[in-house]
Amino acid sequence: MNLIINGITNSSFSEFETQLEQMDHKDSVYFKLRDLQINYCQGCWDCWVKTPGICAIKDDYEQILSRIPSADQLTIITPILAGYESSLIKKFKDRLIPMIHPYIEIYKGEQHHRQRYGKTPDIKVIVLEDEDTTDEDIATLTELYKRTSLNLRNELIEVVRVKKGAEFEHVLTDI
Amino acid sequence: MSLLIFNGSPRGENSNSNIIISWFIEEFESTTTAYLKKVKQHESMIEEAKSFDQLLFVFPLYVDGMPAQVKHFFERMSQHKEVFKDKEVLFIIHSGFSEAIHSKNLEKYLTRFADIMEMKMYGVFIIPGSEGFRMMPPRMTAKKAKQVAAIGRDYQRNIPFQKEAKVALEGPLVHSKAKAAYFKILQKLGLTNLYWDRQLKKNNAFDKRFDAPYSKM
Repeated sequence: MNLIINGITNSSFSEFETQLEQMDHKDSVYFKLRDLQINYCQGCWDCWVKTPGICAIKDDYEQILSRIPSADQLTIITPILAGYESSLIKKFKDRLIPMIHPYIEIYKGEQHHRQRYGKTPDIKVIVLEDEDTTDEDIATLTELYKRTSLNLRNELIEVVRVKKGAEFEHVLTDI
Repeated sequence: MSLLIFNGSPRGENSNSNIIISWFIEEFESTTTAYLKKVKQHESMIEEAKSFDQLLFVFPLYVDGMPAQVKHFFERMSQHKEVFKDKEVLFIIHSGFSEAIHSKNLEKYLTRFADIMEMKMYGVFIIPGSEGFRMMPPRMTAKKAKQVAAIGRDYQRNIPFQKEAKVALEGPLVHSKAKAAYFKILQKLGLTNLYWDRQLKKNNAFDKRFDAPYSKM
């Protein structure tokens, strides 16, 4: 199953979004973050030391989190805002920590958290650029997702760029 | 000159970020702290920033980046570039990992962000091993406190920071093979988990620590 996470913050990519939502993506589950009630991680660590694997915040996020261990792919759609992924996507990522365990292990020569689940979905990122986005911004974002894949012990499939005003149909068919 | 501090910890006042801030501000006559976890107040914080020339951001590393609340504030800031143009800014990122490599991608982005905002970047400082600063007796954190205070002093006096001070605070990018092997031995003995085990036991959750509640969904 492909878990598609839409982290667009407003209506500025409406054409992209409309076509995305009209498409019939087989075996996928779609979440539009801005239409859901999702709170910020509070750093309480209850999901590590009190109710292992379960977040203390009760809101719409559990619908997403509960599907992650059984998903094969996580498709993250984010606009570039102030040179980085959106705060909505960051909020989604901060609340992933019930997926990992507080214990630290050495993995590929670095300290990383032990995994709570046997596998996590591989990640594909679709980046909606603005007119100020540079190649270096994308390089930094790609490196960021390589780090995240290292932490979650999965693979980064690819980072797909959608330049401002450019064709995007092929991106949607290939999701 | 007074300093406006942004504490970006999702834990707010009860955070390791606040401990680090207390070390940093020793020589400042007056400082004001805004807590970025109060997302609804972000617009008024931008208004407040107008009367300051120097800014300090302190936050923990969350999933390879800044906490989402901090990113939310950055997005608001980027819509008010005129407020922040030419202000001086210093960032401190801290994380529980004892290697600096985890924070390096964020350091790169923060440099880019200051550039986008046309702010004067003073520097980005990485403090590893911060988990539990709040609970440690002062003697355990004395060395770090001194290093951070020295950076604060230079910032207050408009002196460029000492490169050696940044390197010393950061520690190694990754540990040597020998140290990693030593860590593996401690790990096998369960000694690297004591901090967490203590909390798990206190909460009667030790037996549930490997629970995977969504594995059969």
